[in-house]
Amino acid sequence: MRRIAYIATYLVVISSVAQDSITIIPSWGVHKIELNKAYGDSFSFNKIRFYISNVRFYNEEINEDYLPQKQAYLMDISNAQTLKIPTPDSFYFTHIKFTLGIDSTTNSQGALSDDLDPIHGMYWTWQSGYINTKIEGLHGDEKFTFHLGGYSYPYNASQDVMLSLTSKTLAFQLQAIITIDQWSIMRPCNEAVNLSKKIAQSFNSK
Amino acid sequence: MKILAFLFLSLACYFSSSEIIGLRPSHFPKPNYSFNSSAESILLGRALFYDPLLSKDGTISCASCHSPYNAFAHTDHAVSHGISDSIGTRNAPALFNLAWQRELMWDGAINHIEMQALAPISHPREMGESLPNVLSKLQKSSIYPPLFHATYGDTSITSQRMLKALSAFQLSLVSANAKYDRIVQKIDSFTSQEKAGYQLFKTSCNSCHTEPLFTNHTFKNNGLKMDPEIKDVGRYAVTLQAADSFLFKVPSLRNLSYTYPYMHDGRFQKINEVLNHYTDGIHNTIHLSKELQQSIKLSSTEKVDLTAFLLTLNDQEFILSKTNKYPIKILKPEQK
Repeated sequence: MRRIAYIATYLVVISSVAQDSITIIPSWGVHKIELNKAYGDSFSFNKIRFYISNVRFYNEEINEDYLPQKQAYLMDISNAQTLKIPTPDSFYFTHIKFTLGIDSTTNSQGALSDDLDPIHGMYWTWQSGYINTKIEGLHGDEKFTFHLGGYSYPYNASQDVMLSLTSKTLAFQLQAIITIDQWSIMRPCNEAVNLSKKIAQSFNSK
Repeated sequence: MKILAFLFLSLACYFSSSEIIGLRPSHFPKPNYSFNSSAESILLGRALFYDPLLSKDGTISCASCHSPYNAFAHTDHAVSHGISDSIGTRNAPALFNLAWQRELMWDGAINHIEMQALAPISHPREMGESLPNVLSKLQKSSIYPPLFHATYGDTSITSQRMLKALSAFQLSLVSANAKYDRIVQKIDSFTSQEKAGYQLFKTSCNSCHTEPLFTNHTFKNNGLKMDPEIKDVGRYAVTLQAADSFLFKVPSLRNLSYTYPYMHDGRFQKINEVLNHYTDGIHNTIHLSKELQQSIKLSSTEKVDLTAFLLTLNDQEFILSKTNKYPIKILKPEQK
């Protein structure tokens, strides 16, 4: 019996080496976005970075969550390795829950490390708070710069997302920026909250 | 029996740990930050605080605008002074009793003391430096790897470790040894003039500059006319809420003799100018704090009495404290 348990543990360890994951895909319609390539009516991107935090894997049948240890993932389109969320090996799940951005509790905890280290340039220095999402690029010749963040009422920009998983990819649409009538958002404000909502609502697993 | 004694001792240590290292004065309320930093961490933070290495061109340290001789404010400078003779827009506030503060800065833009240093380090008119550059300079120096090792057990230099050490030093700046504090502890007494001033203080000032910290840590409009050059909208710039327009943090009245000039833009040089503002200079707008809606009336004798009381809040021991000063043995070891 003990030997069986030992073998089982061994198998879990082995399988976790080649850990499975869910890949996040910043998209423009059906296209996977690549940096500095034109999409739609001449939109190109030179920076797309965002936080995915508070990840939970959810099993609808038993109504239980699985909580990975890692608090937040800083995803950067320029490094494909960062666009992955490792999935649990020994927990069957039907849904994924996460926060797009960083919640207010984490925003008030002082100096953090790892992906939440302010050295990554995803933290405002003039006013406390993580930048949840940075999207920068060109529309024709015109620059656009969206630094979306804000953790306190009424400009809490982080968004909770829950999706049933039908594949190992999650796409979200940057076409949402077309609906914004300004080309620069650089602080917590209404526009930052609205655009964050639109991006969060565009996540899908197909 | 032995076990019981041990349990009792551990509990006693647990409940009075902050008092054991002597940082929480017994007549102060419970602080918002704990005083559990090690002596090594405070020393590392002190070295960082006084080191101009933190600025882009190596000319400005935290202490450039926060001098120990001025209770960590900046005498004779109305507003802050950064690299390349840059001038800021606000008066460098005094630094003491920070463990009792919540939001930091005149407008409360910073929500945690560990994140505060990022603002002056990266501001182009203050230290103008980036966080990665600061860390790389610290890693290359001969001074810091041993200090980080002493504090954290290895020489790895990260932003989290640096920010926590800077915070540990600043939290250790507790000022609670003024004459006022000795009177509270019943080991000294007011002169009759100071006593008269204290009565006036309790009637006219205590609702915002609340004892024993002499601030209630709120944001108020105290009737200053906006400087038309700077056009500082105060806390509104942080929250974008109309109700926060032209509000600034209520500063502590401790150590006033050392921290002039006064107000968020350093417009007043003398305590008397401040008192005259409150009795005769209030600029009445819809933003004016409710405490000032009814004007404060003080005769010239009463102003002298009130000033005598305010001077009992000077903590000379804090100003002269050797453990708060430039750590010469660490930063200039060749000089001794």
